[in-house]
Amino acid sequence: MAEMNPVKKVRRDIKHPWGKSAPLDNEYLTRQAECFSNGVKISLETKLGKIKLRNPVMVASGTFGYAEEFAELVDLKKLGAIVTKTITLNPRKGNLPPRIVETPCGILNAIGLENPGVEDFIQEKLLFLKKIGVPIIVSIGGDKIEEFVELTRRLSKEEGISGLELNISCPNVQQATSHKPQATSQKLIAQDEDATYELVKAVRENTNLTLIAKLSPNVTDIVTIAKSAVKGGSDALSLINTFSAMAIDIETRKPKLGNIIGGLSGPAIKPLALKTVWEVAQQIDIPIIGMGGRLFEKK
Amino acid sequence: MIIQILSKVISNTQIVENYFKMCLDAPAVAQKAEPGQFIYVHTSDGYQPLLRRAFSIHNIRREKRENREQMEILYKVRGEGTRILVEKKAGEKLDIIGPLGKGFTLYPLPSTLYPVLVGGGVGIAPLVFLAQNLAKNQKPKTKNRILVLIGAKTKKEILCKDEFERLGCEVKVATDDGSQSFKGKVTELLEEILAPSSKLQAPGRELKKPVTCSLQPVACIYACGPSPMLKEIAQLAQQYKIPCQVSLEERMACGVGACRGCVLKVVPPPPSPLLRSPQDFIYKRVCKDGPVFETGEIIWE
Repeated sequence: MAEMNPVKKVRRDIKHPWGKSAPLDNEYLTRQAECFSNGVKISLETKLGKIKLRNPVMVASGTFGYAEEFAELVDLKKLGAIVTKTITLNPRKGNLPPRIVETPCGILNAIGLENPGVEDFIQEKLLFLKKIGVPIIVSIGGDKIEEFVELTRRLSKEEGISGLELNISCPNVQQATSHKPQATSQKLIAQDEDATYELVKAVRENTNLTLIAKLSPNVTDIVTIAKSAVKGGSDALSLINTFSAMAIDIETRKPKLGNIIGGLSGPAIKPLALKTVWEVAQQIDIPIIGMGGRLFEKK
Repeated sequence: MIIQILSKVISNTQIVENYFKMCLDAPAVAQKAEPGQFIYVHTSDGYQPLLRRAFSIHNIRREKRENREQMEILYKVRGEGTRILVEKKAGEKLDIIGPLGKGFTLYPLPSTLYPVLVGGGVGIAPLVFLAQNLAKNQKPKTKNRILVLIGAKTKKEILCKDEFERLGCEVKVATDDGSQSFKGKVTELLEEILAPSSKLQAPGRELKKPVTCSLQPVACIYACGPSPMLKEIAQLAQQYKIPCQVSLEERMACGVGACRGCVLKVVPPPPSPLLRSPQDFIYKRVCKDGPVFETGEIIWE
């Protein structure tokens, strides 16, 4: 598996020595797997809203495309659920290259939500996803609440979708009309508690699908935002999206990314992500999907 | 079929200063590989560097004793990943994924016309594998009519000349400093060869350095090297109306087309070429839709 795929793990209430709400870690899963191989049966089943997962290992949106890209490399059926790359109402070309920069133990990306738009997604990508046999969670994004609502209505009509992840936290989106590099960071929905509440609520009123709000770490107090999402009707939370960041080429004295700024992921951010998950888990009761810096490793 | 395996390093030797050849035992990958495809190598054992490194497949050879197909890569030491790779000893294991990407598509050629392979620097790497396949596919009558142009900075950095000659190719060399053969860029050498057999030579362009070459006229071009070189070759191909494919180099993340990190601007496909504005473009993924592209579709920056 390519290194850039963080693995999400769903938090469950496990009796850990360090407290009830400690997030699942690799060690714990390994121990479970050991018991499994010794003939002891342990259920890894997890629930996210209405979605039943055979195990709590998921892929983070944007790292796994629409799953078909990895079909030859990974047994897709082994995943607990698949979260797609973010879909928007209309197709998006994405940002100017370079879109990826390697940083110490991390990756800086500014893809800019390149995607074929919801109609092409349904006609081309969803057909493959439906056949895999694991719950499919479609990540959706947009500039306005109305776009999220329209996407929700459209996707709720389709069979084979178990849930929606609301990408209200992508740090790399510019205004959809311009295609110039632009450093001015607009405020994200996930950076405003009222906007978060309004959006989740509006989407909630339009679907019965499980809703997962994906939050940004680029805030002063993520707990406040998390509470707004819960109040709006989110069934679970994805924590976290990438950290807003940049890199400069010291030779050319120019930013390395075409978009100037991007989002940092990879092992470099794992301790930061973990702390966020822990912080939010103290305060809310809905499941948290932890992500950031998680890698698949083949032994 | 894409495969991820831990492959054994069979050898890792310096061929000239800064250039290394690594032979890997990965028969499953080697059997499926096509010229122009690449393998994606995890150079470190940890998180630094985090991303894999892409190397085009340089050569497939059959090891006689064990009757297994071995695969070679040719690389230049220039960064963090390749500096780690240099340290790998025979017997060590390397995590690789491959074969990846879309390689060269061989043009069907009439027997009177010949392909020319143009490689600049370490860009020569995939062309050896391509020449093997071209030689294999040629009819006995036209056998070994492949022209190879090698570009190097100096005499010392001329790569793979012997390999091509062993395959029966006609090899021409261009060195930047003139320390061997033609003095100048490999693109200039290409033009010297294209121009005499064509009426499409740019007006006012004088050819000062006559190059004798038994293989003329050229039917198609396959090239790999630094981007400015490929851009010039694309221009020549357009001017002389010769089909041309180039293998591009780009930093990648996932390597399988999922992340959309390594995109390239290309001309949108039909059906509406007339309605198309000159600014119109689409992005293609170098790792999945490439790394080999027809030069006609690339929008050069």
